[in-house]
Amino acid sequence: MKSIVSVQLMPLRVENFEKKMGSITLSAYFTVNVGERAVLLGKSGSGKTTLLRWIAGLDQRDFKGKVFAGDRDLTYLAPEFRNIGFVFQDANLFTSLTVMDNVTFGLRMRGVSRCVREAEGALWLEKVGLKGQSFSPVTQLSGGERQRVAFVRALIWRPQIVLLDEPFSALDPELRAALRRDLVEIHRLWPAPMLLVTHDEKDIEVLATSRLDLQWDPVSDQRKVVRSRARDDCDG
Amino acid sequence: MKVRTESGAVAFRNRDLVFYLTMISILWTVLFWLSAVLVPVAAVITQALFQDSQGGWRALLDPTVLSVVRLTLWQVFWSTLWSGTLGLLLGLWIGSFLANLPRSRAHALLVVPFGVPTSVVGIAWVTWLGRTGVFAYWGFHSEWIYSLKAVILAHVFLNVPWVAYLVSQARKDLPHSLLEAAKTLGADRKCQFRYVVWPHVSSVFWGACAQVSSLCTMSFSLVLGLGGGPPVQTLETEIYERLRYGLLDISGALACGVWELALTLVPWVLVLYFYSKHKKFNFNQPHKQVRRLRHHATLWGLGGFFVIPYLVIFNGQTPATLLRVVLDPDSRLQVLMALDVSVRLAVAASLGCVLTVVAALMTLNWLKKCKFKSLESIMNLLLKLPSGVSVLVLGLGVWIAYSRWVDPFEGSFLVVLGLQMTLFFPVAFRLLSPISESHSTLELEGAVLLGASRFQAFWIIEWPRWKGPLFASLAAVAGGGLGEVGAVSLFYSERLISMPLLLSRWMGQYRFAEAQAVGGLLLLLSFALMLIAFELGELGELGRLVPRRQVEVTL
Repeated sequence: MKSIVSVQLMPLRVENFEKKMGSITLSAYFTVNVGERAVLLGKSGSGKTTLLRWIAGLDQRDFKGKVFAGDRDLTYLAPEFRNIGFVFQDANLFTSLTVMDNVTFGLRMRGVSRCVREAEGALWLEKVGLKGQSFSPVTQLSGGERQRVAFVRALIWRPQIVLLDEPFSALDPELRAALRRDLVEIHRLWPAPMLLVTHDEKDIEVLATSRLDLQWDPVSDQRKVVRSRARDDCDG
Repeated sequence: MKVRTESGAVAFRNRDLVFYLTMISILWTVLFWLSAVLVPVAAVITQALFQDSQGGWRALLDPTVLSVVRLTLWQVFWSTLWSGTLGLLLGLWIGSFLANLPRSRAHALLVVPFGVPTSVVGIAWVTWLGRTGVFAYWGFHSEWIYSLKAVILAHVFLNVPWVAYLVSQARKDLPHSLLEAAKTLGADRKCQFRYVVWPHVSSVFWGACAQVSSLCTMSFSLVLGLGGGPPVQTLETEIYERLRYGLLDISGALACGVWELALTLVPWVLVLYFYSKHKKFNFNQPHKQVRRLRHHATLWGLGGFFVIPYLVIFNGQTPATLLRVVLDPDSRLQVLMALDVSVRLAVAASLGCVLTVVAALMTLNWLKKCKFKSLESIMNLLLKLPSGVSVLVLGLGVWIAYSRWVDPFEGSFLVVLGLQMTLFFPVAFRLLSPISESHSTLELEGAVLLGASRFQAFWIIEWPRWKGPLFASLAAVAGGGLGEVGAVSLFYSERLISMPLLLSRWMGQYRFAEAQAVGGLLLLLSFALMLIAFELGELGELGRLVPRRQVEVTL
């Protein structure tokens, strides 16, 4: 059994990405640095989730382009070998497992011993105020608590990159605010390059250290990912 | 309180009608359950345990009975092991691509074998394995016919598609995004199965295994047809032999009945437990409905593989044999009489069964409205109890409990009808209860507020939800009733012989060709009814004894 996994953080780089979406072509070329929280903004149906799923390796059909973690080419790797943490829109927790087992699932898959992963899990769960529910079934959690578990589950095993697909979309405004703070807090613990998909401007205000927009480029008749603003005050 | 306005008076009369209907339903449900389930089962147990000074234990522990119990358990063990293992593997495979397919008729083929009359199954396997059968004709001489192996093989072929169907439905329900989540966390295929797929399908799988083991214990005509008598004597055939075949030995039959009750009720308790543990996911993302030829072809191929063995009873000679049967006055009369009995039984059983189920659902709704929660749960459980009782044991109970009014050797259409209604009650109950549980009160109120009468509101809102499962239940029960042998075997007379019984009789008289030809007709009729049932209703409900707990995966 291994102790906690240790990987070196590398920037996420997407090169020459292209995907035909009906009559429109979606294209992207961007980098997200270590400690950066990039927010990808775009209208519904503009291809944000498609791009995210391609980066994670969940959807590989009819795409062009390459994705790198530093110099490591991830393009042809299966999702389980990419070292990418993914937070889904609906938390996608494993209902047959407890909160602790969910949170430490990534560590378990990497052969980390039970006592090490539970100690680590307890530490992270304490950060998000869920230590008391460590061994409860996830079905007993509220919507906000489930999403917190999903955040921790995606980051605790130290992935090289973290992707979030509209993680706050189904929550009420108060809960969103609290969860945004939690996400920043959790990201401080592991400042991997983070790419978050959203269509909520508030997410940008609170979370984003940089902003990527999906915009239509009339010259090339393509919808392009454009880096429109950057901040230097990275929390990482 | 009476409201004097015109509309108020209408409302009052409607409430009155509903009240009387509910009271009649409660009375009918309670009477039905007491007379058709409780009294016969109690009669078997009390008579078996307290029939002599030694409390009936002597008959229960009789070495002959114990050897039959051992053989039954052995048969059930191997049948369940093979059916479960193969059904699980197939179900997982089918379920993995089923989510991407629109509802496929090929999937119905997996359900169809479950509705094949067991007497036809027996004839089909005799045709394959018999000493002059198809395998022998091809040069494979086996000694499987009239042995335990033949019984197990027939059970496996009958049950594998059913287990596969239930497992595939459960696997299909598993959101693909959970597997994606596991992948992004580093889980390989083995881990994905262990931590995501298996926890989701395991309760359905164990439930299906318990169901199969119970059904294999209750298997009667198949063991009778393929077992070859004494070498393969299970509890069912032993009860039959002690009542109607050899010497009349009620005490021995009762001892076998108690053993059988123990062997069939335990799995059903397990079925209830496992299905109550099963969680159903509410999708928040639609499935990709992709028409994939390869997947359709696979489903057709698999379904066909489990149906084809029964089609062997059709051969080049079938039309000529049928013509011979029709032209021979004696055979024609026998077939027409048997067909008349079978059709009358099937129609009456399906109508009676569905009406009783509707009454039971109204009773449950009333209990729910009155907030008698524990009474409602107990009632719900008791109504499913007949699934765990063999029809021969129930028949034995009726024989003992109502001997003052019923002479089994005279034959009784009413008793056979009652037994079939009891036997198929759980089938119709499972098909209809999900509809009753999903109320559309708000829609009904909306329609009434828009000016619809109660009848119009029911016709427009409730009836479209009910009609499919209602006709599916009628078709499923009629199909089951057509092929049912157990109840008829105990209470037949020369004027009360159904089609399956006639087939068994012709097989015993070595009239194989005629039995095959007439069995073919019965098979086609059952197939048609099962396909109608599949088209109209969701037959997956048959494997579900309690409504599945809903697990919200959305936030």
